[in-house]
Amino acid sequence: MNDMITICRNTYTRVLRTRSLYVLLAAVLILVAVAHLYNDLTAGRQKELMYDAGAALLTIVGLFTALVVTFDIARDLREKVVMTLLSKPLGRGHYLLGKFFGVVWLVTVNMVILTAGILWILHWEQGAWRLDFVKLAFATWGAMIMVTALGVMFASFLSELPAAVLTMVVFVAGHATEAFYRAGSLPGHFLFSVLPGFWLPDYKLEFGNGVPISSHIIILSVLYTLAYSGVLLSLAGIFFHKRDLA
Amino acid sequence: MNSKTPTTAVVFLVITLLASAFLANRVAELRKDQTVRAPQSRGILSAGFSKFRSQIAWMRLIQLRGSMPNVTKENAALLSSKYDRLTDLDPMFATAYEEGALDIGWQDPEGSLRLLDKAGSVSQLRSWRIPFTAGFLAKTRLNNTSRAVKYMEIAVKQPDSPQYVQRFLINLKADLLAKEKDPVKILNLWVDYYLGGEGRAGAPGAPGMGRMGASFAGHAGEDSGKKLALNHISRLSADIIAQDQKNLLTERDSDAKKRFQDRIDEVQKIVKQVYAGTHICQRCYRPYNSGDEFCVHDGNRVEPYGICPKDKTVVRGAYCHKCGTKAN
Repeated sequence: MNDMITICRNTYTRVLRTRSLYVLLAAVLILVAVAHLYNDLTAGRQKELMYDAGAALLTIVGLFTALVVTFDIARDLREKVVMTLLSKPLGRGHYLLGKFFGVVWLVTVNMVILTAGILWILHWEQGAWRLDFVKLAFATWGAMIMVTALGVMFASFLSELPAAVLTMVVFVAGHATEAFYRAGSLPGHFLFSVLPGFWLPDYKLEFGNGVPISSHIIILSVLYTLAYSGVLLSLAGIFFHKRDLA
Repeated sequence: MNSKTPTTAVVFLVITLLASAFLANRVAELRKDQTVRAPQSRGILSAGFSKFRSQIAWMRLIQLRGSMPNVTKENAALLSSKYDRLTDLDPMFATAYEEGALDIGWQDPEGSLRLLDKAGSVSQLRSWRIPFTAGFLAKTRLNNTSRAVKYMEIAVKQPDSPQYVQRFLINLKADLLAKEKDPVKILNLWVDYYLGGEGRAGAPGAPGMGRMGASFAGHAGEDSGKKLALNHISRLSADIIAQDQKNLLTERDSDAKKRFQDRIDEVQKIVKQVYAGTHICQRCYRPYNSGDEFCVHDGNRVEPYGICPKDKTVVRGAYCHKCGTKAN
């Protein structure tokens, strides 16, 4: 357990040393804030633009942060760091979990900073706290945990670029599994149940339009992402166990 | 390397897969009614960025529209597809529906109504402006009154719909009823509107005034819409009664005469209900003020009221302010 925490902490601190991360966070907050100036371009819809831009950029930052895991694992494999680590009494599963939790930690910190910043900007623009944005951010956080787990799974048997690309492809395609659910057929229902449903924790359209979504649904959505992350991590463990690291 | 790991992973995989399948179905079930979507929209693979993309599309559309000196038939087709695409991205983009419909409404009224019908199919979108715009376009561009009535009936049911939407609907219904040549039905439309949809019997009124009197007294000077309704009621009543009185003089058939007389009685009853407790001119059916000897609207001689029987002063209340005598 301690080994896993060490890997987790190392992953977190190593990525945190990247300066581009801070630039990214600052750039996002500036982008959301300048949407305030888009009054003429949006024909008076700059408030909506700020909210939607905030929600979209929160997802993008979460995605980029989550994708770090694919590069991090691949780099460990390339630089043979994994061999050193696994030569100690450390299970492959623990290594993957350590990496996963390290990136989740980073995703969480980034999203908390961004959510607080965007909330403040929205309050500055609109004169009221848009607390529904917290619900939205929480659901997005759940989706990003799933993306991280997806990244871990692909990185467990692929090199960094294919793993990152596939993670993105599955993230995009995962928003379309609603079609399987709506199809109503048995095969469709099966596919919907086993494939990653990234549309389930996605409430940007609803919150952006002021449709009230109960906290109960948001919590269930996040629980789904946690459960599905478990599926992906289990698969990652199986694939990584079978992988020849020599 | 721990050789048991795959077994643990497989067990964990099965458990989490079952849990996630259960949760996915539960969330999907709960989201069914809350997910925003236009039923006939094309599927767009936007990875959850459709709302943000709709804002970008909106800004681009504004630029495009600004570059067009006017909307031609060709432009209208292009704009129609752009608005359609935009509202696929965000089916709740009310401004896009309204602006789009008005933009292309002149060149392509059916296209603009299609766009507004699309908005109407989004259950979460509750805006009176959309069906109102549709009704307005159906009437003014297609001259299809019955279609316009359907849209306006939806508009009046929406929250926050202003009074003029209901008046527009009554005017449209009056247009339809005009073909039936039954002005009493039109009169009843205005009376129903004036009485605020409460019906004309059974509802309690202010003590001593009667419900209709309370209704009249309550709104006076406040609601221009209701004043307008009263004008319609007075004008229609005066027209109907004048016409039927003329018919009574010329008509020989006793059955027809009875019908005219019945209609006069019915209209007078309606007018008495609406203006209960108020003195009205018996020719134009509009109220007049205390002390008036002639109607200010049509010059007809009226029965003066509110005059002190002792010193003939026009009193301000129930009693004369000069001598204290009860006014007649």
